[in-house]
Amino acid sequence: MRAPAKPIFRSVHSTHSFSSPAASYTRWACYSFAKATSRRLIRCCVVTLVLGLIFLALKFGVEWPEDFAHHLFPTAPNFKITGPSEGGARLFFIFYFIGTALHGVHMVVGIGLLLWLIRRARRGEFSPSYHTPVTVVGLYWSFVDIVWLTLYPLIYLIGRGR
Amino acid sequence: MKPGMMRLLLVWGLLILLGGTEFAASYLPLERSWRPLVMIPGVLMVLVVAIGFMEVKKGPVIVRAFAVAAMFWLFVLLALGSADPLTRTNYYVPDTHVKC
Repeated sequence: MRAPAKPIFRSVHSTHSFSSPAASYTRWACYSFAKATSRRLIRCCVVTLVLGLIFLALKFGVEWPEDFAHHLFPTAPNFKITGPSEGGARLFFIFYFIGTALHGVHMVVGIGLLLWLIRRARRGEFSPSYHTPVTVVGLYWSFVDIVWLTLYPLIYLIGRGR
Repeated sequence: MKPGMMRLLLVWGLLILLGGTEFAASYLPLERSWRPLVMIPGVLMVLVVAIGFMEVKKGPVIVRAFAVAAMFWLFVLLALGSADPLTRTNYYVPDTHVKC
């Protein structure tokens, strides 16, 4: 009997895995170019925002509905996995739903912060001598990225043992 | 291409490489007790993000100490939180659910 894990091909997790570092990379590009032009900063923020939205759409618009359709919500009375594995599987999916939901909340906060940055950049509030909010929001994005880099193997990879 | 941009691309490329390694490692026929080794590329990716994107090394000692502590507690939190779900099917637990 193996520990539960999210099916590896049915889901879109690999896209998540790469969109998250991509978002982080793009954001850090914002920092590098903040000293150059506000227009470039805004462009980088928009790319990051779009990547973040793609991540959220894949996770909560594709994968979660699929999980619900397959009766994998842990408190569902008609939970799909039955037998001796049922208790462990329910626990796994509790961890999965809470972990991804919290990550999603952090992503939404990050997207809000990006919109705030874009608004301020459009007003020309950042300059080579002052771009602290850009740096701080970048650090926040990187932290959210790190959380996903930790969650991803725990949810999708480790439990795939034979 | 500016040196800063080149560096960012290299860091991102390294993340993609490590992500691919982690994905490939998940297909290795490891025993259950060895499965956590699959996380090694993930841990390296965390370090790459911390050093490459967050530039933790450039901060003062106190910042670096807090960064290490934050990572440590993040892993403790997630490892403790996932330990039970990931091992529950290895060790059978009687069904205590009350059926009406």
